[in-house]
Amino acid sequence: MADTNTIPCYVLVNSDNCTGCGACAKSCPTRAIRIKNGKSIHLTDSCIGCGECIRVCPQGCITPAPFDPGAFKKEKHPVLFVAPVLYSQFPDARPRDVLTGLRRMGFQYVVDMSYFFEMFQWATRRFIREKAPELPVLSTMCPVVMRLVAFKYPGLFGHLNQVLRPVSIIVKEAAALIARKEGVRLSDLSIFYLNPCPTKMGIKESARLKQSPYISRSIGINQIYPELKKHITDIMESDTVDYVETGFEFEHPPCSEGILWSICGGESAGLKLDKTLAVSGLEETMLYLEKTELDIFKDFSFIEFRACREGCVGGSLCAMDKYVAKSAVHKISGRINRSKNFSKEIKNRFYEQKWIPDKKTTEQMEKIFGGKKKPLSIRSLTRIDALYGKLPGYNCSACGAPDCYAFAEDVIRRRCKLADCIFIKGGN
Amino acid sequence: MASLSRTFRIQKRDFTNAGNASISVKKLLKSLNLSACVIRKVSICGYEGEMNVVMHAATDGILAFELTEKKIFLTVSDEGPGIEDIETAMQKGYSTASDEFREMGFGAGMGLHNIRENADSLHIDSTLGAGTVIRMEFNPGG
Repeated sequence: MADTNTIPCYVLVNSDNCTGCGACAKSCPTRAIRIKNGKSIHLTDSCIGCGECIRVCPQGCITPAPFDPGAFKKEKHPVLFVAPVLYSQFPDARPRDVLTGLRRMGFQYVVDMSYFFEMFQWATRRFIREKAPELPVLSTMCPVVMRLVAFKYPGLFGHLNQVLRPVSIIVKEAAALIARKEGVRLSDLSIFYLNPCPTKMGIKESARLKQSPYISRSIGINQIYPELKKHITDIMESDTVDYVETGFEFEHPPCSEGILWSICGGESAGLKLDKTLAVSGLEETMLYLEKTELDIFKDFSFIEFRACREGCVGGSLCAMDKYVAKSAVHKISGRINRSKNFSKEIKNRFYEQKWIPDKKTTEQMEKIFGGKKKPLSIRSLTRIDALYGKLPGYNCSACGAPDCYAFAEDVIRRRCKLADCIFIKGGN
Repeated sequence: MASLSRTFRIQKRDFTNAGNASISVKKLLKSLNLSACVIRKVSICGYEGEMNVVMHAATDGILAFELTEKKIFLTVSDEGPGIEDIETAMQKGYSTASDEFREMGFGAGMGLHNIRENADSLHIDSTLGAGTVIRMEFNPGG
């Protein structure tokens, strides 16, 4: 059994293969990784689950928090929720073939979430036009962005889209329907998400949000890709297999606009508002959040942030290259060419009445999404500055911190010793 | 009394990096856990000050930041054309920005107005043909 460092939630480091190169430490947006004794370790409470370290590790020794992707097969009523990005991984297949393939794998119900995304988009558009929110309104779709805001940009809380996030609604509604249809209790269902990123792999949020009666788990797309691919190929080669509706209300394959949600720009394009921005990639996302805090984009009505480059197709648990997937998205979206498929009655039921939840306070949001570093005093900041001045400034990371400033802060916070810097130790 | 200071160079006509000095200041203030309202005020003033240098100065300018337990000081100085009538310049929508900058979406004439709205204390020294120094003070307690 490999020696592993369990960290708060989202990722896991296999120390056997870790060479201590520091690529992960340098890539981490919240400076949550250090190298200690030649091995990568994560500082608790700072990980936001962005998956950047998984992406950059040359040894491939960082993985999402462990979960057996085949576990659903043992469950009696496994229900799978699918984000539209899944279709981009199968450029030649029709979305309905993909959904059929998942059922063949053993999921009793497969729910495409884009149906609710569309309603969410419609509600967001109305929210911005009718409720005069603080502009720009920031997209809440990417969980990493939500945690980034909580962790580094709490001043932007007031800008977050107030419309209830679709995932929270869809799981509740669909699970209730399925339980009724099957004549079982909610707790008899096993809820799974098929995800392109490790953000949902953790237990941190579900542990804090105890209201759901079922335990939900995440599966990475790349974890089931080979098996699913086989089923889909079979389905496509056979003329006789067709998509069979099981008579469950939300069981629609997505429309063409829904497919676009998997690439950055898809969410904002469908909003059909005058001035919107779509920003992707962690580095750019952070830069534009900084700029949003300076009030630079107050003329814009909406900003769509995606922590992964190009959007969800760039997720670290996708099976397909992000640009190939992006091209597939356009292809599939053009091929289905089907418009939104929800009726006014359905919109009314879910969004008209209570589409904006009771006001969430900043503290609540921080509890759900954020951790916070202990604040420093002016005196400590001055000491960090003074210490930083003595360091070489090469940002070599030999000490294990991502850069010299982070090292200086670690020393002042008593997380490491000044002698960990090889230049200080060597007396240069 | 503990105090912390930083100075940043602001390059004229560098729209891409405009705001970077204010972003650095913002990060420092956040690590102290000051209130979001104070951080917002300082950041907005810093950015507007930077933009003034980027758009109007003849040479590069300086943003100086100083923080003590009791006050936050922000000083933006440049060698630029100077401001002819400070009172007029502070009016909403008053701008001497070139058409070029306006086409880029800048120069809406809100800069000094925003600074006056957000700074707890403001003092502007300007000499025509020589340059401008904008001194701002903020109360860290809100």
